[in-house]
Amino acid sequence: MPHISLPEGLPGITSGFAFRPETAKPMRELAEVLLRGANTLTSGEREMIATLVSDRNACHFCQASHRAAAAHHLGGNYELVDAVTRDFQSAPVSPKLRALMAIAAKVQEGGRQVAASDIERARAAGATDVEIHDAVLIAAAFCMFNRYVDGLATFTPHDEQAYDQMGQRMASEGYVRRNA
Amino acid sequence: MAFRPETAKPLNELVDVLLRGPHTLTQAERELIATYVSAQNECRYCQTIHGAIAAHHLRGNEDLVVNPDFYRQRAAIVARNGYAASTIQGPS
Repeated sequence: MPHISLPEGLPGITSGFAFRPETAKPMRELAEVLLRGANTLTSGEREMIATLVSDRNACHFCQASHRAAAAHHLGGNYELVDAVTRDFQSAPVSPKLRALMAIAAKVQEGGRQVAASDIERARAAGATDVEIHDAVLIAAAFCMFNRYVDGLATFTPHDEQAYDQMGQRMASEGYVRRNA
Repeated sequence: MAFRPETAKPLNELVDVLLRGPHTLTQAERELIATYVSAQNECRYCQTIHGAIAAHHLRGNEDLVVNPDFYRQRAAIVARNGYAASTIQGPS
């Protein structure tokens, strides 16, 4: 049960967004730019970074919904997303994405855990400064989203089918829409 | 922020709503929350800048934010008992 009187029936972050449209607007826009904006990383790759961070923060709503969004961007490939959360170091992703995930995982532990060697490894694998910037910001932003969702004890569905539909909408319609 | 204006825009808007938008908490109170969290996260830049902004809102009462021990004690009182029970307020 949520800690405050959030609108009933809305899952996870959507209840906080409905409760407080003033903060919802920039938060939605941030998610849209980070995960769906023009980028040299695909939306699938960026959603996998978001899923990895949410999983490590043990935020079930964010993990399950972005896992589904990532899978939909990847043509339904839940196996790849799950391989990343299980162990991104051995997951079949590009060396560049693996290095960016290592940076995101460090940010999830604490920003100052990121070492110069982590950045060097990403650059050596072909990552640009914008890609490194965005990996750091996706990780930092999802630490915020995760804590927002759990800090209010928002309603967390446990129906996997609901998350699949949510992820399909997130992937196809994005984060800035009238009713989400 | 300067490096990536696309992401800076919503981030700045979010901070503006949270820390400066119409609210039942004063701007000083919200800046103190931001300062406290930044200090707990050991982010020196954020702690210092939001501490300075909080001090500015508190009409220069920098004792609240520049002395970390003093500040942490007061912030702990706020966290435990709320602002009404604490002594954190601007000089009258």
